[in-house]
Amino acid sequence: MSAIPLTYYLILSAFLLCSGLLMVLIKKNAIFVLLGIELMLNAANLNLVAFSKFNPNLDGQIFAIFSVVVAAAEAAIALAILLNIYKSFNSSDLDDLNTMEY
Amino acid sequence: MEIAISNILFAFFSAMVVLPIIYMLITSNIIRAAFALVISLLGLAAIYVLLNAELMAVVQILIYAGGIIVLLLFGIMLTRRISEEGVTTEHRNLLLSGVIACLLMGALTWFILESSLQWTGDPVAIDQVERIGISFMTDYLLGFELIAFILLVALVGASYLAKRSGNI
Repeated sequence: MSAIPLTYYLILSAFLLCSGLLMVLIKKNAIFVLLGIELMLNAANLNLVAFSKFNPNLDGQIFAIFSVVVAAAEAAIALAILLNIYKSFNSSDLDDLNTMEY
Repeated sequence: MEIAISNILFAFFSAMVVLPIIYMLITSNIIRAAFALVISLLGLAAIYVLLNAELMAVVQILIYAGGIIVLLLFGIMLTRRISEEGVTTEHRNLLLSGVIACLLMGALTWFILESSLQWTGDPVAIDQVERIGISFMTDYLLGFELIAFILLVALVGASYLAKRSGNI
């Protein structure tokens, strides 16, 4: 029984983090930025679950579940704010949001 | 040397995670990117199963692939008139961002390979859902209550924000 090394999971997690960062940086639309943030949160979750595989306390999984709940709350709030932004600026491109006035 | 079935499964599900993400980076269609993210999140749930974290896999499918994706699709459909202007977007700062992300990826990969971390300790028991439930009700009770309150406040606030935008 050959187990998959821990480093493979960590490299997959690093890929998720970097692609999420790249998506946040290069895309113009705010929804794409939210997708990138979800990817980065998933990278953190994968790290936590991978490190808790052989931990009998299961602390890592508990923190990962907390992180999922926070991600759900973040997505709901961010989309509500995005709806307001679209109502007032009539656009969801981040480059158009160049004023703080309402 | 024979290849273990878990290695084949890990390779398959890693490809299921990685390929849709690369497609998301290339494409400029937001709807297609959201559905590619669904495939990627399902692959990640399978990877959690390979890590003996069944509860986390179910949570991933229910909340990410079921909840957050539906929220994002509603966000796309409410902020874009799909028939008129389309749902495409543009790229910018491609060179600089690509260099930054590649440098970070290279640095992280180098550190991970250099550290050569290994699994230690004994595998977790089979009754982990029960143990996680007991932990939530004993050691992490305060965090559990706080996260429930935060979720309630966030959802009420989100519905208030969305409702106010509808009236204006």
